[in-house]
Amino acid sequence: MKARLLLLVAFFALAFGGIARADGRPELRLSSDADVIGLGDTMHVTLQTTSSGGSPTDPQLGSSSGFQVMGISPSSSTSMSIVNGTITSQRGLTTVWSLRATKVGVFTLGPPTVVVDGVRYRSQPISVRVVPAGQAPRRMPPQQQQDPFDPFGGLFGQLNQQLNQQIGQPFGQMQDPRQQMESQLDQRYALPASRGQTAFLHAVVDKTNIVVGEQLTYTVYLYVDATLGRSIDLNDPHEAPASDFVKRSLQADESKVEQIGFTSVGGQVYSVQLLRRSALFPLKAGDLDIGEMTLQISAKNGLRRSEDLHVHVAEPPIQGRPPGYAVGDVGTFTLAADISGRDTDQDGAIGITVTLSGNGNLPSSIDPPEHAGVEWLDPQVTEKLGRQAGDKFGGTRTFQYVVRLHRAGDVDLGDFTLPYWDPHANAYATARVPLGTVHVKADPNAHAPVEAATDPLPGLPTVHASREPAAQTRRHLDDAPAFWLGLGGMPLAYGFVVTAAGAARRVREKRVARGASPKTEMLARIAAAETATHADDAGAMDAATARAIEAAVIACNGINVRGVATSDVARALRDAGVAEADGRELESVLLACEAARFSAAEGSAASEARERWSRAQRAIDRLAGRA
Amino acid sequence: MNPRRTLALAWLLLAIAGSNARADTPVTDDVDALFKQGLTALAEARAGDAIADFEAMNDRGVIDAVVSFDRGLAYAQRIRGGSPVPGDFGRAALGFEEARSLTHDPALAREATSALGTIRAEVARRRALAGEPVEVDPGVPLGRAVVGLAPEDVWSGLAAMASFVLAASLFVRWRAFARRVRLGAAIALGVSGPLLAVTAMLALAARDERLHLREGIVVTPSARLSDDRHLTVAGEAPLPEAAHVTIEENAAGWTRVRFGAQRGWLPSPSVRPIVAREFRELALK
Repeated sequence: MKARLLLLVAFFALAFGGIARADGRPELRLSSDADVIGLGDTMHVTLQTTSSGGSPTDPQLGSSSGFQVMGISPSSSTSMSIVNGTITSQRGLTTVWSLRATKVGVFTLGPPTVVVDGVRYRSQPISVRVVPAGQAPRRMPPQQQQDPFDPFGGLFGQLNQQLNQQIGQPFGQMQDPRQQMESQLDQRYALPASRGQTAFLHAVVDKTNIVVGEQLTYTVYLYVDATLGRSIDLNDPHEAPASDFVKRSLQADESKVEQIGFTSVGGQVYSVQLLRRSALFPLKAGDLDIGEMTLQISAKNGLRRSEDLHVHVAEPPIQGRPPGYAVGDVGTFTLAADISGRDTDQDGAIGITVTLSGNGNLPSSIDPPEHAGVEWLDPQVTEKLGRQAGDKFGGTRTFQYVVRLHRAGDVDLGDFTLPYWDPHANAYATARVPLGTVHVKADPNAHAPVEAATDPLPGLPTVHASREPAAQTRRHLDDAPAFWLGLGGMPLAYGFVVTAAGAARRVREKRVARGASPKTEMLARIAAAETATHADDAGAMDAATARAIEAAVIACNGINVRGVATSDVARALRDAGVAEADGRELESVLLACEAARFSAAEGSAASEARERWSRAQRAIDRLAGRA
Repeated sequence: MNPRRTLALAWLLLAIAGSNARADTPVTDDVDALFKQGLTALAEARAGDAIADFEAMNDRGVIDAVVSFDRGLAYAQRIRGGSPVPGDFGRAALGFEEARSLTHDPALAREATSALGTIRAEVARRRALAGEPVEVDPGVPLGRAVVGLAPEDVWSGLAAMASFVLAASLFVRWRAFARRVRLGAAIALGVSGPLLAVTAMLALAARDERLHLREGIVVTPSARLSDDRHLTVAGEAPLPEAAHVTIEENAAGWTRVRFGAQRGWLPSPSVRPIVAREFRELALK
């Protein structure tokens, strides 16, 4: 029991002792990324200070003989926790010195010191050996170094550090880094898939349809694999060209990369860092190309490219456009004026300061109001432009004019006006500031207006006050296709007529020639015989039959049997190659026809004549190969 | 007071207030109002306001010889006022060139030509003082000069007549048997054939010029020509402001122009095309 009691007392003593130490003296921890380095190499010494009291300030490295201090990077943090209604806070300061070895030997660095609540506290010195260049052992990767503040070792070392920077817990004792990481995933930056191994660039624009002169916010993020456990070097950045835009940075320092959160990319955790944020003002209408940003990272295949983005740019509408509007004046603007005095002498001068302020593409010049006898000298322009709230670019541009007044009396200076397109209201607006009246005291010695003496454009005509009536729409002769058709058509008509006449003649000749052929003759004779059979004139039928046979023999065999004795027809046909039976049949028909026509007996029967024609027809068909 | 009267008075006051508001803010889509505002501004020597009004009319697609002429005068007035803006000479010349091209009024054309001469003489004088070449308008090439000897419709009419004579002489020569008639037809054939070719070509060239030739005015001081890679051509004299150029091509914010024997690219904002009469006719269709 006693032992248990003692153990309990010891535990509470240890616990409250630790708390007492934390409440009083700050905790200092010194580390370096190497204890043996080569000549000319660079190492880093880190001093981490935690205080539950005042903020740690003024870190000093102490002795740094043998090294050249290349840079110092302090970063402070604050964390708060509420336990049972009690608020406790811790303030941290992490200071990293970058040192380059300049001599060979063993050197003691430090001890580094830091001031808390007016008291300077000291850490332990560290010893470093510098060997000739190239003989230093290879450094251990950072993730292999056990960090007592990181229960997961190097795996989440860097992630933990980044989380600490972001959520203000300097050393990560309070929460599991995995839980911190998961609770910090920002879905706004989530992507479905990685665009590159280890790290990649991702570019976005806030809109894709804008008008000429409207601000486009262009952002490039660097996504780094959160489980990488080591830093990556970024080299050789090449900005997106954006040659059709005026580019204005929305970052205080583009050389620094700003950690903005963690997100999930294809199910893997990536840290998201802001690499670039710029306001782009398009110079012209069209589909404009922003281009891609590239940089080299210290990894395999180290070239990384952002997306090549395009935006559609149009001009603001013509409808409602105020006179004097210059394309590109887009934003929300206000004008203010300050006049140095309202009384002056003739040919004297006053000072007028016009301040143009607002967000957007502030014009570089504004036209002063024009009045006779008022001479505006070129203004002196000063500006204070940069990032405004809500990632807007804007500020003020001040025009300081010296105005000479050449005419005596009360001179109304008029208004400064600036028409612009307001993209939020989607309408034109006009910024206006009245300048009021200035009293100009007459001076009898004042000079005459200079323009009367030296007019550079003498003898110009006077203004025309009435518009010219619109002319009637007039078509020219040669606008009509018929004109060109007629122009070529008339000579071509001659050619057409001549050609057509020739063609017609040839057709006629061909027709005549076709009419005289033996075959045509044969067909005509056969047709005539057929016609004759419809009548009862046997003599005519026999005559037609005989002529049909004669024409058929000429057409089919090329011999004319008209001059041959009828009794010799069969022989002549045989000699011509006609089958003997056919020759005899034809001769027989011819003899029968001849006998019927020239016999003494009157009135040969028509039916017999038709029979002879039928025989002749069959013989002709065989002769012509149609049987 | 009678409630009706009170209501009527209230409406009257509102109407007056409304009319005052409109007076402060011009009815910017009314081109006639813009024209009047421009004339008023010119009369009051407010050249900048006049330019804004006339340019606003231009933005709204108003193509009018008088508006172009007065716009040229407004730019000239700003030059005369002693506070010219770079490009004013060129824009003044553009206004007068357009007026000359658009107008059907010979008197206005003469005045525009005279004003153009004054502008270009001053540009040449200033260039001479600076030791630069003074040629502002290189004139037209010989071919265009020949085409310009007669109106397009004259060339078209001559071509039609030549075509008719050619066809008629061909037919006569074909069908006639009398030797004299055939000889006459042959002579007509020999004359009308070449005449048809020449006049048809001139009519075609005049039509092509009317529809496709685009001319412009250089509206920036000393515009330097660039080559096809858009690099400034070394040794070439810069084109003077108000120079009359022929526009050959537009591409990606650049305009290829010809100025006499010089040819090259200029940034498009440096050249403004002259709106010709034919464009107005096309716009009216």
